Amino acid sequence: MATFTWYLQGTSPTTIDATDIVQFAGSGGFDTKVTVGEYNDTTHVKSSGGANDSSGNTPNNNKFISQTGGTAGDSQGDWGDGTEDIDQILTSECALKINFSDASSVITESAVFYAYDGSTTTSAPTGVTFVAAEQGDANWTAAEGSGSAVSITDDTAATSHDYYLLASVSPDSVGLKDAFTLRIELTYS
Amino acid sequence: MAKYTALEVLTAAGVENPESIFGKLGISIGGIVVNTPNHLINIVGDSKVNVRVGKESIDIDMPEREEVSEAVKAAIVEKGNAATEDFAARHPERFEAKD
Repeated sequence: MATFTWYLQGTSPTTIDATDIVQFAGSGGFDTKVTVGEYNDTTHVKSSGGANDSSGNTPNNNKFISQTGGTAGDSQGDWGDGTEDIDQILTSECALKINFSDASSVITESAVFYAYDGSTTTSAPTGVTFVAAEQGDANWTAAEGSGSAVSITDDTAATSHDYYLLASVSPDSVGLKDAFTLRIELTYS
Repeated sequence: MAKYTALEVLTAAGVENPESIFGKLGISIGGIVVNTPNHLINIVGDSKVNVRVGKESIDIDMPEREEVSEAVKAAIVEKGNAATEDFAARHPERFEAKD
């Protein structure tokens, strides 16, 4: 059976289960707020019961810095080493790793990653600006709704496929933002 | 894993005038149907890749490589330009102009 497994990477990976929350938080760590207009300084996995599942794993965080302020118009981000062009990020430094596996060796095509409001995939998440990129991309994508998704490179045949993704969020207004779901789609054969 | 453009793979496969066949002959690389020269493909798993052009088929070896080629960079830049245009349209208040 084909399976997706999501991880928040860090010194150790934290598996993100179906009922877990990926929490984008402030500089104070788990459950702290992000200032309106600013981007996440930390990322965590929160269980449906409210526990910090990524505690002890020093989870990665990818923070949007600029869309075109880098070399030759590259986007910039900060993943703990200061501001860098996002095309310099290593796979191990990306916040998200999504694995797709199948017992058969399959190709994957037309893979996309985006955020939506949790109800309608074409609708942007509510009250936030969400940007994402595939490892190796030169620029962030405002991946809000299926029509603006990050396109992920097609893979030749294998039983296991890893997708490394940067993700960063900024609240557009005060208050909890939870009309906000991450999604990956692909075709395999 | 190594990232290549479709044109790089066709060139490595010895296809004559590879730029000219897009849109004229059916092309698949590793089972992935491609329609443009800058279509990016990750070669994962086995480095041997089947290349089909029309009725012709050949297996070639596309090795791992650390460096990102200029062709791949150009395809990534094109992707990035489209993303930036969309970002600027969606969030003009957050988009800073590059001098």
